[in-house]
Amino acid sequence: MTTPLLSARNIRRIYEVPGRLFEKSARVHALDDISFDLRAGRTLAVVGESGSGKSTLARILSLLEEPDGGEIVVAGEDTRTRSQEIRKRQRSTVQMVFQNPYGSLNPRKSVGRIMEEPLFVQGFGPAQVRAERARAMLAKVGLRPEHYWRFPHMFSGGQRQRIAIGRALMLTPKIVIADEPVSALDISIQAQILNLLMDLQEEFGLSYLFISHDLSVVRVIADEVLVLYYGRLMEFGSRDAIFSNPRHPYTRTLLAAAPTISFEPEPVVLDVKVSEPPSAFALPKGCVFHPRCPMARDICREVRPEVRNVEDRLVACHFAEQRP
Amino acid sequence: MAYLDVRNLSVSFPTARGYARVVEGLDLTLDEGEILGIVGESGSGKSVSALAILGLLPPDSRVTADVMRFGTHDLLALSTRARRRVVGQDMSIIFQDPMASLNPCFTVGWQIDETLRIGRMRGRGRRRDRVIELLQQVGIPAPEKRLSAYPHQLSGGMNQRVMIAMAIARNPRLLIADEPTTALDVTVQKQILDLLSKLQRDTGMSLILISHDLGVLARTAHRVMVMYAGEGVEEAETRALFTSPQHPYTRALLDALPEHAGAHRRLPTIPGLVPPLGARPESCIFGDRCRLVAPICREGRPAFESHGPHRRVRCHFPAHRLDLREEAHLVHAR
Repeated sequence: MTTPLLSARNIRRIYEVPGRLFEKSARVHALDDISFDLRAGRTLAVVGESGSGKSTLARILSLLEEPDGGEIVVAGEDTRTRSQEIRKRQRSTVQMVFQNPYGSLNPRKSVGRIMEEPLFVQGFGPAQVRAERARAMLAKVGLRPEHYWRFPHMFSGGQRQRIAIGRALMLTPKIVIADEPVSALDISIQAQILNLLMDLQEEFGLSYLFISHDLSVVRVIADEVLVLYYGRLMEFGSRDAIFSNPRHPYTRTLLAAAPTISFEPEPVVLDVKVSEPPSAFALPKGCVFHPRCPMARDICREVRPEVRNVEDRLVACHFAEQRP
Repeated sequence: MAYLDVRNLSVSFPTARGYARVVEGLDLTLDEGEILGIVGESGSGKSVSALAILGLLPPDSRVTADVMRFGTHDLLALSTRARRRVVGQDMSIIFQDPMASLNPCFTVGWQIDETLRIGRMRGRGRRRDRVIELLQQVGIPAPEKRLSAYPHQLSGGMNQRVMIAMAIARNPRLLIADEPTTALDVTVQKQILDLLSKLQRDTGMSLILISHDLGVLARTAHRVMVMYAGEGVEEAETRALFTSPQHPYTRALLDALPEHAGAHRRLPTIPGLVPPLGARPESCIFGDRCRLVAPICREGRPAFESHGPHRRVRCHFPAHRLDLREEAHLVHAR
């Protein structure tokens, strides 16, 4: 096996929420002991519901935020380095695409200027070369050369997302972190953007860290799937392992709840017992999922399950070997 | 006779360049106790149609229809005041974002109580009992304790349950749910959809469920209307619509769903863009993006024609009559 392009070991991120007068401040474990590898040219999807830590993970891997513990190695170099030169290089290796293309493009800058901005920041240049590169990239993401002078408000949501993807690729990164890149788009546009992402991956050999709450999208684009719940790893394995043979009850719950247009009888209908997810400030003892888990027993209320190898995947459940 | 009967509904909004048609010639019918799903991409006019039925559009919008009947009420003939009474009493709506719909300054108990007060329900104690009963009905645990909770103290799913409680407080005969689960997580989404189905069965009310997500409608709606750029293009019973779609747009939309694709397979897409407001053609609205387009499609709008029971399609060449298209081409060639 080749060395991973990015590897994360025991990532921890704790947010401190200041308490009001005479109150203790509260701590939220947004990410708790998360480890995984991202290999070259592959797509790792991170799935989970709101509050699962998906976006925190995206920010940490994009080097926008520091973890409170653990280490991240990008292309063989630890991100905790003090060397400005290495930091700068890492920042051009990892680029981001965000969910909302209406919020992520500066409305006062032309498309050309937006695309050239990363080159500018990295001191790439002369201006003419930058402009040439931007024009070439416009073609790659399916836009026309005359779009260079236009402004973001003149584009539809799908076109804006193309601009955002183009901007992310300007520095020829190896890794693109995409945080819900198609969630704000209509179905027909979503299909176009997913196709574009797959085409660009093949052409440039990109690795994607693809964050999504939509399992049907993940099923198309992912090689491996990491399931998070309240900042903890629930299950991590290949796409087939997760979709065809999920072992964690939470993964099964997610799959059963996903809306589908298929009229086949539902395979296993798992009912989430208590309707309410817990508060992030007062996570349950033992396994975080136990209050909603249909398989929960005494041990789940007391002992936090270790992340362990079961068959072909990692899973954090005491009863991963059992079927419901 | 249908409980809700809307025929040839058109809505236009004023723009800098005159009035722009947002909804054009929409026919909607709904029986008592039926769940109608309306699906469409953004800008297809699904929310605007719902608001037009409720009479909640801004006063400068133009709403016209041949028929707009709800139960025994002729909504077109009613005065604004009388219509408002019908809307408060018999028709109700819930919106996408519960956090934005609830008032952050008042407790949820107070806000549900307000609905009952406006409905002239007497007696504070009786109202309180009714609020608790409603909260129980929408599946909120320990309702007595939740009465004094503010919206920010509850999760998104719980707040949507509160919205539903308010909407059904006066036993409406029609509930419109406009993207009720779009802001929610999948596990919560499923619970809210199950709740809406259950309430519909228990009370026998009619339900219009608006969503951009075909999967949300597939398991819940009895019948589905597909909208595109302000027009209804296909209507059928849910299962029939998903298993044998007839309109080229419906077929393209279903094909573009990631759930059909294999790993790393490219998804079929729909070429081109939705025609912008103010530049919508008089001919077939989908013509410019359609694989099947023929000369006849450029000559005026196809009728919303019946093809079997409960199925209407606005297309000259629905999937079960593709032979027609061959003929059309032959005629044209001659």
